[in-house]
This record gives sequence, structure tokens and C-alpha cells, in this order.
Amino acid sequence: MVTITIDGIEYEAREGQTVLDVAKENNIPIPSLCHHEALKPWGACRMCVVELNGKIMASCTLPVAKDQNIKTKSELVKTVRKVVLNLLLARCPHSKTIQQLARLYGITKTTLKADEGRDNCILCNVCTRVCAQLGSSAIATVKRGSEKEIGTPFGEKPPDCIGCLSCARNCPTETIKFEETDAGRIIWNKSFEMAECSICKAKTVLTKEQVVFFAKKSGLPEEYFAKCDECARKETAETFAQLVINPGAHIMKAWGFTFGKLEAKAITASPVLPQKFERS
Amino acid sequence: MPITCLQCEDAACVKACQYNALTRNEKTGAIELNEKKCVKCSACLGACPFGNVLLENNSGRFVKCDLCLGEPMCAKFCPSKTLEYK
Amino acid sequence: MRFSNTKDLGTRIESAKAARQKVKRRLLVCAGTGCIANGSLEIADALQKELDARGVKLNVELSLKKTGCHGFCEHGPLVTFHPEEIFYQRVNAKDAAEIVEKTVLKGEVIDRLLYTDPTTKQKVTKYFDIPFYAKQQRVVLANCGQIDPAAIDDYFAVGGYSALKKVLEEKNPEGVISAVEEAGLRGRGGGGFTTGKKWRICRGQTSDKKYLICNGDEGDPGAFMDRSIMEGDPHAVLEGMMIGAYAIGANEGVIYVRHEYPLAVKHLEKAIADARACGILGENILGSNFSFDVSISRGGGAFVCGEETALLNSVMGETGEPRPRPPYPAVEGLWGKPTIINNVETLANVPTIINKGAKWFNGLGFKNSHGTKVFSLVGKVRNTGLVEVPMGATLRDIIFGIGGGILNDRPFKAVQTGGPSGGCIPASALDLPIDYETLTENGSMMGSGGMIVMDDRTCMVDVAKYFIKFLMGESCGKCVPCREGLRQMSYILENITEGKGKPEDIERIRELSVGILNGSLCALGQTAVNPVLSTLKYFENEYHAHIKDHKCPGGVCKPLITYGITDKCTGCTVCARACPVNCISGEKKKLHLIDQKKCTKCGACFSSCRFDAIEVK
Repeated sequence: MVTITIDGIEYEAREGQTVLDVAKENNIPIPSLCHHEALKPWGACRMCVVELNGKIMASCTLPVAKDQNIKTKSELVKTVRKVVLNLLLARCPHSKTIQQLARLYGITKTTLKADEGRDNCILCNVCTRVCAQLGSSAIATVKRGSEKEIGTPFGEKPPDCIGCLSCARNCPTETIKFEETDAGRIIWNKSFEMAECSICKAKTVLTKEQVVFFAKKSGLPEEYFAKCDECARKETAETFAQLVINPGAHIMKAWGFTFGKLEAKAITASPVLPQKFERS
Repeated sequence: MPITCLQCEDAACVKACQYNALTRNEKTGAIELNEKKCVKCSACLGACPFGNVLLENNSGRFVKCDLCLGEPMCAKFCPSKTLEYK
Repeated sequence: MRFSNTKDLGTRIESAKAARQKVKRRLLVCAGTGCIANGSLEIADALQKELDARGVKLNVELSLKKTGCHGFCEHGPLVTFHPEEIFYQRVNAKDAAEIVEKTVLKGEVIDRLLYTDPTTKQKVTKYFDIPFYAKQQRVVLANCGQIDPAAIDDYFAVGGYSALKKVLEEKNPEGVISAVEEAGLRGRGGGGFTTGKKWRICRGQTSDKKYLICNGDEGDPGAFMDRSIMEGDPHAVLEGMMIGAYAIGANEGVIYVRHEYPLAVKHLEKAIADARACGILGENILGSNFSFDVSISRGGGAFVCGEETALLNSVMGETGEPRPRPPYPAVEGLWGKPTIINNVETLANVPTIINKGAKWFNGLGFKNSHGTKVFSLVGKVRNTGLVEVPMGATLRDIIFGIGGGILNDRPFKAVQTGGPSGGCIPASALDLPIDYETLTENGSMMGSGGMIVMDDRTCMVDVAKYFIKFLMGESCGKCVPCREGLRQMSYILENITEGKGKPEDIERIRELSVGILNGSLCALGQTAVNPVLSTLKYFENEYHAHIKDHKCPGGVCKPLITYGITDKCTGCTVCARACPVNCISGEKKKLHLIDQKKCTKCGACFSSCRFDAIEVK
């Protein structure tokens, strides 16, 4: 444990935490756009800047250290955040997220040259990072500098996209568009059909590509994933019913799952999964 | 027969999640879904062999039983006390 | 010839030195990139042919060699003849016969090929009598242009690898670090961080693997000191790397060279192969416990990849984008292992520090900046090229001493140091000593040593716009202040140079600058506003002239200038003929006139007039 000071108040922090972590735990407001709890700190939006010894640092990437004296409300911090918001508002004047945040800092209209006709992407890279962490890396940034954008390989339908929609669902400015029906989805211009339940043939909530992807990643058969939750539960229920009738039997026939110790009271079901399923 | 999350010891959903969003609450023993960390990729939903991770259609949220933080409401409110939590 | 111990290496160094001393006459042809482009390889071939034709054999006493860059590329191709130190410039393959006939065989000097001092208009015969060289102190560049970079024996002959020998024989890693620290060597790539301190941090890390990377991603436009060192003295870079690796405990090295430097890659590859064959690189170097090998990684030429964390990403095959520090690469670098990244020039200094001693190096320089620094002197100066001076030399020494003053005797206006993200320093600061701190205090920086000299016909707003546009294009685009801020900054500057600037633009620029300077993720953004802030600091009146008076004092911004003909006009008609849109009229021997409606402000008349009769308003 280390003690750090934020805006004059001391806080206990654990080694390895970032200043932003500590601030969030203690309800100290620090705005951020590219930060996502599930992802490694990125440090790109520069909204979460704080002041440390007169220097501006991004709190999301700043590890806590003994006797740090952090200021989150200094004039310099405010100025930098305002510039960032002014810039973002110029980039995407119609983004609700940016407008709201800018209003908190007293900015209602950018003083800079506003881009009309551009989408609301702020290049926080949450989409690409989420995608990469899942293991598909279907989208990435393309080009450099002020021309940079999020794109698919060669601007075509992304071959590695599995249609999980994580990119769109995590976009802070809701820029990534998709269409969704019970039968399928369209994202990044690529159409996806929902996989059919291997038992009842109803549409599941996973795309065919997701099923293939998860199967490949885990080493389990595709049927394992292509199952609607009703059928899965039904199957489980049947399994348990049989277990009660005939305890000790090896069931879960289809994929060779075994239950170790099976007692009527405490059922601890642990399907043994191949190692490949481990987090990368 | 209704089936709810078994809180598997070596849970497939936890292994499938690439974002550390599913963790076991050591007090209750339940596997809880941290919504802040969930990116809604459906990996856990696909991985659960029992169909116990659900996608709430209206909200787009993923839900699973977390034993209501140690006090399952289903058991608490079961009028016939058929459901018990021990 | 594989040396199994340091003694064998020592014997070889001594014999190579002795062999070099036996050579009585040495004909050296510069084969740096600049001279090659001007046909120096053909000259070398022609010289060989002429020697053959006259039955002159190259032997112990006479040698013909292709060397690395002399740094005076403007006057290339260069051929030098030693021991007389005769310096021939702008040589052509056709001159080969004469050079062999007169100079090699008879020792005569060919006047026509000599350098003319632009100040005194005198011909200069000897290399070190030329003011460009006479006022330099060459430490890092000492071997460039003197030895054949493709021959390891040439390096041995100038005492090469004796520093490695000394280190392996006499010093432990701690001793090496202390020596480099005591010498006060600081990073030559821009940051100016103390090299020894950086090494010590890395040495203190416990890890199964450590890396040492040589940063040869020289991205500053116009800068080519690192290229020249890699091309002209590759073994010095390797030796520096080995000593660094020994000090920090690394056993793998990477030289990151930009793709635009094929010759540097070729020479480095040869040097690595030769060093491996000698047992200087590889497992158990010279029979010691120290193992180290080097590979080359070629960059795509993105400016931002000179930033160390972007460089690491590039080496690992990721997008060349910087990441926040900490963790610093010395703690967590390539493949997550402790990594030291040193600039080419920094590493090339290391063998000299070991050979001549930390005290000697520390004695050179000024305040907290020690040793020498290579600058790439370009722009409106008479002599352009690579110059090496001790730290603490003044800008005046370089520009007016070595550089020979401003081209066409025009007044000096400013010098931009430190590459695109350096600042513009005005005439009032010409006598300040050049060291890391002084430059920074004056709104510029050492950078990698770019030095662009500007005369009175330079528009400072235009200069700021140029650099901001360059940096905007080279920004990786990861963080908002740099990506968006530089774009907005360039819009504003563009408007000002087009006469559409508003008074509030200056305040806006200052505001943006605070955000970009403080808020950017890496040094590219943090220093990107230097050109703007420094020109605002020293030349704010020029901004006002553009905005309020719609005038460009430098006569550069086309929308704000008009060309006119003064009564100096002799009616020679040259301008009328040069004008591509035929907007100049006038009879022969009478005053000419420019039709302002048709004029496209291309400046053709201005540059064609021999009577200074065209004025810019």
C-alpha cells in the first residue's frame, strides 16, 4: 500500500494501480474517453490528465507512487482538458458525448474550424483494442496523423470480423453503425447470419462466424456453441434428472464431460475444458 | 425444472472471457459479471454449457446469476419455500 | 582471423596501425551517399583504370580507397590525396587521368579542382586549411572520410576496437558505466538524458534478457549525421554498442535504420559480418564470458519512429505509435525486457570516451554539455554540410565561422536548431553557447542537431507553417492534442499566410500551444509547437504584419505580396522573357512594367533580374 495525495486529501492505493483507478475508487471525478476497464490503459484521449509536480500526465497510465501529490483541478489541468475538448468538438461537432463533456467545461461551441460531414469517431481505439483482445483483430487504425481512421483491411469487408458487435457496443460516441435483426446482422458492410441451434434449429444469439471462432479457439466442436439457451438448459435439466435417478453415471455424453464428486446437495459442475480456452 | 447458474468451480465462462469481466466473489462463491469490464462479445454466453448466461434483449446487457450478492431473491421470495439457499 | 582473446586483437590492431603507417600515398574517393549520387563511384573506377593504364600498381605504399562521407557534400564528389592533404572538390570522372598523371605521379596540385574560399576568393589546397574543416573539432566524425568503412582492417588501423579490448581487459560493467557517467555523455538524439544514468537504470534491472538498440531512424529533414556515421564508420557504432551492452548486461542488439539509408545498411551488414568472423561479435567475445550479437531492423521511415517507444513498437512489428512512459524502456522495453535505446552519435562517442578517458571528454564542452556535437548546417549559408564542434561553441562560430556567413551577403535573420520541432533563434542570440540547456531556454532545442539558417527573405510565419505541416503529417495520430491540435494550428497558420488571419488567431495559437505542449503523449507533440512559439516570441511583429497590414515582410507569402519593377531596371527584357504568363511589358532599354492582374507571383522575374530591379512588397 502507498499513500498518495489527490487535491490535498490522502488516499490509500495499492501498488500497480493507476492514479485514475484510485480516483475512480474514491469518486474523484476525472473525465476519460479512451479508457475502458476491460482494456489496458491507452493514454490517447488526454482527457484524464492531472498535474504532478507541475507536469501534465495522463492519470490512466500514471502508476501510483509513494508521496505523489496529484492535482486534478489546477488551472493547467483545466486548460489542457479544455483544449482537448475544443479540439474534439471541432472534429465531431455533433457528438452528444463530446457536447455533454464540453458543456461541463463551459464549452458549447468550438472556437476552431469545425469539421462538418465527418463521423463522430474520436479515435479512442476502444473498438480496435476490444477486437484485438478478443483475438480477432478484424479492424485497425489506418493511415497516419490527422488522416488516421478506423478501418478494415483495404477498406473491404473485414475477413476476420465475427460480427460480435463489441466494437460498436463499446464505442463511446456510438459511431460504429450496425443493423441487427433476429436472423442476422450487418456491420462493417459484412452480413452475418445467426447460427442455428444444433438441437431445435432456432436462431441463436451468436453469429455463425462467432460459433466457428469460439470453437476454433477452445478446441470444442461447433455444436457446443451453436445452442440456444433454452435447449442448453433443457439438456442440463435432463442430465441432472438422470443424475438423481442414477447417481455416479457419466453423463454429458456428447462432449465427454464428467462430474467428479457428485453429491445430491452440493452440485459443483466443472466441465473440463481444453487448455486452449485460457485467456490470452 | 428451472436451472440457474451452477457457479462452476472451473467455469467455462470465466475462461472464455478475455477481459477479466467475470470473477468469483470469494465471499458468496458466485461468479459475478463486472459490467464495466464487459464488452458484450458473447464469448461467455457461447461458452456456458448450461445456457446460463443470458443476453437481455431490451438492454443489450449480458446477465447471469450472481446469487444476488449472497442473498438470492428467488429463494427469499419463494412462497412455498421450495427454493432454499444453503 | 578469429581472435580467441584480447591479446590477439591487440596484436592485430598494432599490425594494422603499422601497415597504415607504411602507406606513403593515399588517394581517397568519397563514397558517401551524396558523392555517390554525383558519380563518385565512376571516379573511383576511372582512377583505377588510369592507374592500371600507366602500370601503377597499388601496393603497400600507394592505396586507392573509397571512404565514407566528409560532410561537405555540397562540394562533392570529393577526392583527397594524402599525406599532402590535397582536397579536390566537384571532381568528374574525366578528371581522373589528370589526377593520376599530375597529383599521384608527380605530386602536383591541380588548381582547377581546388576549393575557393568564398570570403577571400582564394584557392585552398589543403583539407584542414579550408575554413569549413579548420574550425571543426572532429571526434565522432574523425574516421569518416579517412578510412574504408567496408574494411575492418582500416578500422583496426585507426585503433578501432581497442576500446572494447580495454573494457574487456580492465573494466567491469560498473566501471564502464562510471566512466561514461563521469564523461558526462548525454543522448545525442534529442532528449539529452545522461547516457551513463540510463545505463545504470537498465543495469539495475534483473531480467533473463536485455536489449541494446541503436536508434538510426534519423527523421529530421536535412539531418544526416547519423547516416554519415553509419555509412562512414560503422564499426565505431558497433563498438559503442558492444561496450554499452557489456555495461548493461545485454546480449542482443538491434540497429534500427530507416529504409531510406540503403548504404548505411550495407556497410553495417558488412561490419557485422566481419566482426562476427573476427570473434568480436557473437558468443564469448574474445574468449570472455560476454556474448553479444547484433541484427538490423529497417524502419519504414516514419518520423515518429525515432521516438523510443514508437521505435520499439516498430521493431516488434506493431504500428509505430508511442506508448506512455513510465514504464521506461530501460525497465520494460523490447518484448517487455529492459532495453536501452541510444542514438547512433551517442554510441559512436563511447569508444572515444574509453580510449581517451572520461576526463578528456568531460573537459570538452560547456557547463553540463560535454564532448562535441555534429550539426547538419543547411539553409542560406555559404558552406553547408556536417560540422562537428565542441559543445559550447556559439551559433556565430558555426554559421559565420564554419558556414562562411550568409549566402549572397544578405542579413542573417534566424536559425532553426533541433530539427522540425526546434525553435527559431534570432540574431540577438547568435553569441549564446550551444548546449542543451541554453537552447531550451531560448525556445529551441538540441534535437539531433539540425541547423537551418535563414536570411531576411524568409517569412517566419511561413517557416512556422512549414514545420507544423511537416509535424502534422508525421504525427502518428494517437493522441488528440497532437493529431487534432497540429491540424487546427496549420489551418490557422495557413489562413494567416493567405491574408485571412484574424487578430484573435494569435491568442488561439497560444491557447492551442499550451494544450499541445502539455497534453501530448510523446515528445513529438510536446515539442511540435516550438517553431510557432519561438517565432511568436521573437518575430511576433511578422504575425501582426500578416494579419493587420496584410503584408509579408519576408516577401514569401504569395497572396500578400506584389512584384514591382523599380527604376533600377535597364530594360534588358530578361524578366519579360522569363515570365511564364507574359505579364511584363516594356520596350528594350526602357523601364518595364508588371501587369498585376495577370501576375501569378511565381517569382521568375525576381530571380532572373540581374540588376536587383524587381522589388517585393
